[in-house]
Amino acid sequence: MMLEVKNLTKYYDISGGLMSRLSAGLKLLKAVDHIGFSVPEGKTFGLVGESGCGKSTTARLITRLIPATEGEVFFQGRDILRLPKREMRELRRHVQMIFQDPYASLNPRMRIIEVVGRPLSHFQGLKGRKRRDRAAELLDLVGLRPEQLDRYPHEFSGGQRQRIGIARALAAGPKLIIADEPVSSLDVSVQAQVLNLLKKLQRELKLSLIFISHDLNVVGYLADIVAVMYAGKIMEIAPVAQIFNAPLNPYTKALLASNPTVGSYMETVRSPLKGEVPLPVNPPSGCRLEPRCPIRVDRCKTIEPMLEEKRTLHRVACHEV
Amino acid sequence: MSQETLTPAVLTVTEKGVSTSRFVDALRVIARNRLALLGLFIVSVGIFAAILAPWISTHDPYEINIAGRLQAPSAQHWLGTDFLGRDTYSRIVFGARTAFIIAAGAVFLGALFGVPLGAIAGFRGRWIDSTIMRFMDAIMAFPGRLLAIALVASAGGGFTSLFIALGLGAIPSNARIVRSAVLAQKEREYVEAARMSGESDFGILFLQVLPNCLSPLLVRLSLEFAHAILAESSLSFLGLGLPPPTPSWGLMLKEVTPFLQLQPLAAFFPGLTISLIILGFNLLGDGLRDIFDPRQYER
Amino acid sequence: MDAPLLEVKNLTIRFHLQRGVLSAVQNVSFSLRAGETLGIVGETGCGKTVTSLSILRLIPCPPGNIAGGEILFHGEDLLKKSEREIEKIRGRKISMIFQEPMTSLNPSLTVGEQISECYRVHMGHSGKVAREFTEHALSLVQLPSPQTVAGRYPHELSGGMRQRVMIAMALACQPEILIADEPTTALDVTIQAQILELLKELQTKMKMALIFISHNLGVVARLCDRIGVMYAGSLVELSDKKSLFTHPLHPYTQALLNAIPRPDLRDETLKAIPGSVCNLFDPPPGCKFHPRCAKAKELCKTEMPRLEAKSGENLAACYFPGA
Repeated sequence: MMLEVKNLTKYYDISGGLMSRLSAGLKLLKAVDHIGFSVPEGKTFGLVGESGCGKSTTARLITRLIPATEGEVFFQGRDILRLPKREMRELRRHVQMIFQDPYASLNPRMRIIEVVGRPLSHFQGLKGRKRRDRAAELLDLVGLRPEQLDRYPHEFSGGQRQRIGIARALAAGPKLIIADEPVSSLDVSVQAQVLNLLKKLQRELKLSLIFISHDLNVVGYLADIVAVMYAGKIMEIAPVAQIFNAPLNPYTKALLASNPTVGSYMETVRSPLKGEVPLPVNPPSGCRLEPRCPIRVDRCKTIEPMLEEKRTLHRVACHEV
Repeated sequence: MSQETLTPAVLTVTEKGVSTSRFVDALRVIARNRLALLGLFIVSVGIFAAILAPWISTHDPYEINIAGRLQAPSAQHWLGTDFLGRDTYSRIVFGARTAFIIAAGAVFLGALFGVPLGAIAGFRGRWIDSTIMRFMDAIMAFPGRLLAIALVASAGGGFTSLFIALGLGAIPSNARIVRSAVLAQKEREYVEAARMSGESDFGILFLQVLPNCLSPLLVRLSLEFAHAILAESSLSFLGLGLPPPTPSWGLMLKEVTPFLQLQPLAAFFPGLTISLIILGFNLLGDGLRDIFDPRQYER
Repeated sequence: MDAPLLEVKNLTIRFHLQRGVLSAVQNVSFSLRAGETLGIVGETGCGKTVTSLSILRLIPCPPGNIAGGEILFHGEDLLKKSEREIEKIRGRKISMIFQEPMTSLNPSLTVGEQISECYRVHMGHSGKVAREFTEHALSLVQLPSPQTVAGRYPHELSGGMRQRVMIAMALACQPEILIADEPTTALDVTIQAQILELLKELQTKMKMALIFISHNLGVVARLCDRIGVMYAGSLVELSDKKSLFTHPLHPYTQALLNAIPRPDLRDETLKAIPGSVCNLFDPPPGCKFHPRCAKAKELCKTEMPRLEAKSGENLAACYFPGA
């Protein structure tokens, strides 16, 4: 296993100041609530869900961009969350990230040679000519031209900037890349180019990939294993074919039914899930989906379903399965 | 209906890319804005005069000639003479030197302390932020001029006390501006990316975030320059600034006040100079703001 | 209903910007029948939003310039009407909803006040009557407790609820046409499904025509009867939905459909479209898609193909349409 996540938790205390605390009590946003999963070596792990489900927070917890409230993340046998700062900086060489917004993830004041070159200096100790050559190689690897090293981010399109972000992530020489919605801001044709690139790189460089998205189609195309998150919890984890062909959790089913696909043009428009997508603030004790679930029973309100293996390699959190 | 939805798609940067440098873009914007150009011109003339004072003045600014005092402009004395017969033009030119030195010192001091304090407050947040900003509030609580007057009065006149008095007053506004800019940049993804690339917190703050906060700061600094010049003139006019016989525009106004009936022009030129320079800096500051505002590299 | 409700003919719109003249929309023609759902799809910069805004004369001119064409509504050219006449149509006969409700709603007025305004201004109702209509409108868009929601400010509502408020406002005067510009793009998938279902229901109930603009072919798939595909300012295909998805005529449509990722395509590389969109300030001669088209021949590089019927009533702007 490349990565093993156990009991990962992040609670935000949003009670406010003294007065709000006294009048309204403790308000805890349980953004990620005791989740666990494993990423096998060389595979793509897809994390899918709607806003507020905690997928982006999970990405930032794993990379220690934000501190976790609880839990362990084992990378090559060591718990990343407990490593001292200096060793963490070392570890960043192996675990890199690609970000969502191609416009905000590049420093507008840094030339591309710096964007890609800085990690080369930090992690590979390259300088001068050697650094420049390697940066040119990386640009070539993602389909850009070496002459573009001296340009600024604003001179590139969204798709090109994402490629630069990929090159930056690769510069460290990582074994695991976490991609947080890398294609969500891109047009379909550009998206296809970037997805192809990711697939190619993963194969050639034998990378493990955690791919986070709200778009089931993209996740279905890229991932080997898919986990569905909702309100801070994982509702279902299974190999991709099973998620799409034989989903068990009602939320997964609703997501699939709501998913706009070109193949569904003969079907009628319907919305299987009513109500709002919740933010897990002081969530109820039972299942998070209960208020909206079409198959809920009394037990769902009070007892939280645990992720259990109902079929081989297929884990679901639901009482009624 | 916001213009935003219309403009970005219409103006998408294509694969060909636009490779003009930003400096050239900036110059282009200034060139279009006539007032900013005027501001730049005035300020440049001022700096020019300050640097080349000994070479472009016609007389020694300290040379007294009681017989020829309070004269109107003539061929010999282009702008006339003051109450001691000193050449007004030369004193104004050297006065530029004085003004710019004081202002530069004050602005530099204000930036030297204000920028790092604001940056750290914004980046660190929580109690460091609160402490620093309360400190800044304390300084701001004193009306600027009174603070300057009090400091100068206790420390005596002269360049150093003016630097400190004017610089101190400038620290909080610099700190505030840098703090908000840092706060805005801090949450952006490129900062997270920098962390992932192995940068230290210090490196991120000073090498990545701060350069992106320069825009509002530069606008502020140019306006502060104007403010400092005006402040020095005012203090000198009140006799609390630079001592005679230093060539200082404010001091010139003070010296000539009792003699205004005899020679009104003696006050006109120093006064006009002050107004023009302040105007120049303000126009330049506005122009800088225009350059930085519509230049959105992001969507 | 034989005569089309809305007819756009040879619409050409340019923008005069610092960098040069941008051809945002070139010779776009399509028609809309009463009660029909027309989808307009395309990627960023294809001109779909500009086209839809021009129907309600919402393009700022300058820098925009409607260089040619007609937009006939009930036979009358909207482009020739005065501002006052258009104001009577906006929100009354033709309404529009946008992608970001937060920027379309006034943050300092409650939701109820904003909807009531439509009733008061357009239909001359009194305050009390307008309030009643407002609550009815809010329940029509399936917002729970309409009275409470009416008293809320936009920022107090979720994205999906705000979009419902937008829809309520747009439909207040029972327009004949609703133009929806990417109304669900910013919403979660399950909420998007709710809004799409709501739009469909309301459309049937109110016998309204709907123009739905999106960059997502999947979203328009279930919703629309006919779909128009735009590329770099031109309408390149206009077909009924079944034909579009089973036998796309224009190479761009085909390429777009092939580029969409699907779970069953896992083991293949996506057929990405090579190159990128042309420079709208300086488009290539002939068909604007030719630099990226596998089938491009000499004719495509010189003469711009016109949008013509190529298969039954389905139109394509291509010399070599079809498989």
